[in-house]
Amino acid sequence: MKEIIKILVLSLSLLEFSAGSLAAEEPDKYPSRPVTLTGAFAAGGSTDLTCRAVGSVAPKYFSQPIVSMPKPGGAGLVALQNLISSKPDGYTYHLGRPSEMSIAPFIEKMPFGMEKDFIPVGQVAQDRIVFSVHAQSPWKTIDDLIAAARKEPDKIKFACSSPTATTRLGLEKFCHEAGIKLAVVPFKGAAPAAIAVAGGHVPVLTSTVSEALTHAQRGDLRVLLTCADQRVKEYPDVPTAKEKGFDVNFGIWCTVFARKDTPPAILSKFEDLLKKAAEDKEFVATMTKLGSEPGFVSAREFAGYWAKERKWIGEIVRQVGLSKSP
Amino acid sequence: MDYYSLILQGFSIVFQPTNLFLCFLGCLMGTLVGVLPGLGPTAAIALLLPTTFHFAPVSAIITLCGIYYGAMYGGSTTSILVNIPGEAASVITTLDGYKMAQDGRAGPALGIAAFGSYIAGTLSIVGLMFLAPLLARGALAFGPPEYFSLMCLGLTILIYLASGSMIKALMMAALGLIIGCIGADMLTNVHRFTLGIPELMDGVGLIPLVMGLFGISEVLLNIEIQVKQEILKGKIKNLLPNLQEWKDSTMPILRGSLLGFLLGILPGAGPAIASFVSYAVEKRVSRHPKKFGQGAIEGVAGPESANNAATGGSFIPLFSLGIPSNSVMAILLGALMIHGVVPGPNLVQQNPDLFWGVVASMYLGNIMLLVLNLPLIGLWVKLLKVPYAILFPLILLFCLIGAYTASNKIVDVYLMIFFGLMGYLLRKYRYEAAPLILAFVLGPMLEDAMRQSLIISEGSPKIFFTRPISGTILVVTILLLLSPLLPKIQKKRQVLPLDKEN
Repeated sequence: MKEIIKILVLSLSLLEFSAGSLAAEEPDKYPSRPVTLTGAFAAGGSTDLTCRAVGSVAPKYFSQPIVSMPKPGGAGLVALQNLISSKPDGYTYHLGRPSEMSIAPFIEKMPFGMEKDFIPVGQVAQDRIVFSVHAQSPWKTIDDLIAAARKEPDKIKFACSSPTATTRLGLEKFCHEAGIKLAVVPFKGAAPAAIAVAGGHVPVLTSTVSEALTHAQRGDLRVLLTCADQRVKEYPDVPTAKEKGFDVNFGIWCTVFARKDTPPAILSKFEDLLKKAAEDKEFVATMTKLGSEPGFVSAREFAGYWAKERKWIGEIVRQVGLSKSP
Repeated sequence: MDYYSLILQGFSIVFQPTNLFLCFLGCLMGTLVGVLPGLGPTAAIALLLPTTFHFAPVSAIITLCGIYYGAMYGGSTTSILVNIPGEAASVITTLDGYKMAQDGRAGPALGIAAFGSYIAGTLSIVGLMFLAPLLARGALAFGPPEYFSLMCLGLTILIYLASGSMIKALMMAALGLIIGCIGADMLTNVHRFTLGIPELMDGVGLIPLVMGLFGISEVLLNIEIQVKQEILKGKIKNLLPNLQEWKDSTMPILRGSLLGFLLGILPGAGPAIASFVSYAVEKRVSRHPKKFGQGAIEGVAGPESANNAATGGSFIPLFSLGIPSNSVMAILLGALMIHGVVPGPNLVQQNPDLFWGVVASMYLGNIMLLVLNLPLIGLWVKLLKVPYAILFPLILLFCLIGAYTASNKIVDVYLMIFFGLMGYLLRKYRYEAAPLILAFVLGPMLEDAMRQSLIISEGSPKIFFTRPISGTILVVTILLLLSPLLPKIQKKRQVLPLDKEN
């Protein structure tokens, strides 16, 4: 009997303790300790560098440090699992990319619902997707490529960084819009894919602006199209998808996500910080150097965009046959 | 172009006190992460990257490069002393280096590793300086079919890795290929052998595998054997290689330098494969191949030179094409871009201070590393006298930390322990781990390259033979495989310890 009482008292005090720590987080005291910003990719990659860029300008606008914590693995599942198992107190955020937030849910089994469990807080930057060909390729413009692909469906190959890459989805969406079909040659990573095209082994490349940049500047790649509404600074002479009449305004965004049950007052505080950080001169300079396009998009605006994006991604994933793994 | 004045300009940059200090700091940290099993240069550079954002570009790159080639110096230390490779590129050094240490020749083994690294490192910088633009285009000529052929050639190296039973070596290679299959399929994203564990989707990491098979299993084995250390105590002879050992090592060092340099240029190959290839070559050309695996100094000198030369080689595609040939180079590419330097053919012209400063820092760094490592040999050798009761728990601790920090995944720690138990049993029954590691590294690259090639050729295997580079490599591979069947070579082959049972 004594034992039972002991256990009861102990568990009650534990309960009180955890309740107490939850209640202690009042929005006006936020933030009272360092904030963790996870990413689904390895340290030193563009996601980690973006998190660190946010962290390096944050002290100007935020009383607590923001620490980047890469959680790579499992198509983003490891990082999202980490977010879902942390407290909804505004001290753990995830810098999401389309690969794990929009694409993976259609391909991998995920023990949570994207819209049900996560909420966007604000977008700080995005990488633009570009399509390019080898410099000696007979296709001088995107229209040449489309015409060639119409003649021989499924014959022209394109290289991308993985079978589920965001850059691949961008190209498949474009093909869908243009009514053509290309065959995929996946590589392990963006660099080998770019080399395969720069070396003339595969004819077409889909990549980010920065992944194609050194090869284009060297004269081994010719960029044909950018997936944007406005011209990309790095390639001022390259037409956009919009100019050519295609609805492929698709960037590899960097958007901060939180647990959905985080108090709105805390979220709005953090969104405010993200806006200031994204418009900070130092942040803009860093991201531009990395070949990324800095710019703030509010949580509300992004949520609408995200819902639309996932709708077409679901369709494209089904079309190209990237079904869920058993 | 006047190289002389450019190099002088480079040295004038390195000899600025800050850069001199940072170069030393990078080399020191590199040696440290190289020596500690599990902690590798990739993790160290990724962690230190943001600290260098506030440096001048040339200072930042000098520091990060120092860590990279410093790690190649340090990696051999634990391979030789306790049979645990500091990083993947030193796996092969365990074969002969550890045997040498057991014979009381730890000093010469460590010495030749340091000197070999220095010579190879310096030679590869000379190569980087003069041949960068020339060789860089060569990396682009390698497409999927060429990689397929190269990996085929790589797998034939297996023959030279076996020092015991050939059948057992082949079994281990097959196991390595199977472990390499774990993960999401590169082409269709279908999960293979992942057991529903999300972390396994990315495949088994090289670090948990190497640390488990070598590190953990070594600790477990030594719990059984207690008397061995007593033998070592009195028998540590000279600390530096003697004249005969120098004679035996000169050619392996030169061959290792050339091989490592050329393999380093190819994206994806890198130091680990270079060290394997060098070992195989030395065993093939040696007049006494039976000594390999029994403490042949050539088996330390060649691979240790090759992995250092490969680091120099891997800078060529980065600086001249902007192509990162491995994960360390990918992080360095990010570092260059953050500093507003776009790598490419114009880098040397547009940023001469950066290029020549970094090249000069590598010359200096290699000398620093030699000076740093030679006096340390005496200290490292004394490490062998540390009671195992203290040494092995420490090794275990570093392995655990290393496995976790490499990717922040607890699953990697479990994997390492699993492979540790497996490695313990394998070694008890005299199965060697080196063929497994080689097959594990080459297998997935072989599969990817083959399937990519077949998509490009629309199913026709002719693509492997009709392309000149790929065809040549395949013919060499086939000749190598057939060579034992030819009677003339058959005679020579009898000295190869292929079928020797242990």
